[in-house]
Amino acid sequence: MSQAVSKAMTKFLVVDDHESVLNGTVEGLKRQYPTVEIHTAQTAQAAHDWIKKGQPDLLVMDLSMPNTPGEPAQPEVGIQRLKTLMQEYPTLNIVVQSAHVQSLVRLKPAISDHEGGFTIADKGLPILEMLKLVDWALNGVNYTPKEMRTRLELKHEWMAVLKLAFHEGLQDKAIAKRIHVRERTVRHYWTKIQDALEVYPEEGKNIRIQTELRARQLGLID
Amino acid sequence: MLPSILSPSTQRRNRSLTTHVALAIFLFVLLWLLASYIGMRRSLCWWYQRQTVQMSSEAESIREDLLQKLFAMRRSLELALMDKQAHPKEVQHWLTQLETIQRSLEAVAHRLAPPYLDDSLPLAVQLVLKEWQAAHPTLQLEMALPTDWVEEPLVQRRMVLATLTAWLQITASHLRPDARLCVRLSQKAHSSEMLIQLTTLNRSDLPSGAAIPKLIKLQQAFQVLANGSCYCQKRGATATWFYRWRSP
Repeated sequence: MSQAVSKAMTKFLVVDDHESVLNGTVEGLKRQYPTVEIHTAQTAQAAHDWIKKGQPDLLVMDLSMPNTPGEPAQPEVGIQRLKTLMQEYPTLNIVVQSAHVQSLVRLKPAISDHEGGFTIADKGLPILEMLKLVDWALNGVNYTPKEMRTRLELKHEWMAVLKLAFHEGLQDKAIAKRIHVRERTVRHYWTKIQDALEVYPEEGKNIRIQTELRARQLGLID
Repeated sequence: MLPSILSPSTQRRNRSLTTHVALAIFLFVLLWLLASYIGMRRSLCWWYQRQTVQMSSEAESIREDLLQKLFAMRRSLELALMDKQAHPKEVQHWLTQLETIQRSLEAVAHRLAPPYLDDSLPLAVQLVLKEWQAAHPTLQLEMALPTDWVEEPLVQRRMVLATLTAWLQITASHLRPDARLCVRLSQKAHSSEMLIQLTTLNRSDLPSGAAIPKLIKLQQAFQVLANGSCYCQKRGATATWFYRWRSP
């Protein structure tokens, strides 16, 4: 999957105020995506400015960081900046790589509305796990840790998509027509449903069929 | 014996005066005890609040300094392994060592500042219970944790979580494979409750002996530090602890 993605993607932005961590992430990404231009930023403001002019295909971002050079690094700074970025760039693919991933629970509504790929990687993950989450984000996948919810959280419109797809056998285009949204929104709903049901891409498996099996297992559809 | 030179009415007045003085002293002592109890309670809360802030700041310094250095070291080793620059067996050995240190440091940071506690008490409770279940896989655990929760002050949330953790540690020997544990969080207007219910096969398996005085101390600590109340109800082989506190 990553090879196909790397040909199409041109620019990544990696944001971390710890230079040694930043270098490690960049080097890891270079090995997986050798043709991609990788840029870096060490403050929230610098990242925002670069995104405005650089329009990256992927943002890999820490949460605890200073707003401008010399200021103290705080998770709240990254959280607020991420919220703004998700509002301004709703289709930007994002990987949050942080030691404070639990703080993202504050952004649950914004993450739920975000239309781009969105994955959360604890900084302590092995490099191959981190690269897998990068790959998922580039492919529009949503991944939030299970521990961020106390129960199955499915929006009304996501349930409608499940029922129209698996009860009536409709395709995305027809589903979009029935629930009066764009086809792209239906695709966005699928990534959210799959995250809620903890169904993620697996080599050799059809993710829609996996979603159907899981939804039946949980009694969401007959 | 000398005859009393005071008239009966003066004697009555004196007796009444003595009674009034004794009553006044009693009330004064009572008020003094109450004031010193309130003062002591405030001091303990202040101390606990200070400790909470200090522990959070120590956790933050572990996450922002030591762990970041470990993450960077880990990536360097992983990249060396990917590039086949070093002996794979040796690198793998150091990676394993590094992972152990990383996990231990993360665990210390978690104990100092429990994950999710800043944002959501139900999520923090869920994590504590899931970790407990992972360490005790035979435990039958049921959780009822709401998604929406009006958050109380951090110190209060911390005390609720500390109470749950202490409760689990105190009763650990009674949480046998056949025991069933249910933890429920609920909230009404200005009042929150954590219910912990333990059901065992026999009444004799319920916490007893050394666990009882510890649970009573925990109850008293909760009452003071979370400004709440607690009571335990036993019915057959089921014991239920109700921890209640005021919420915003």
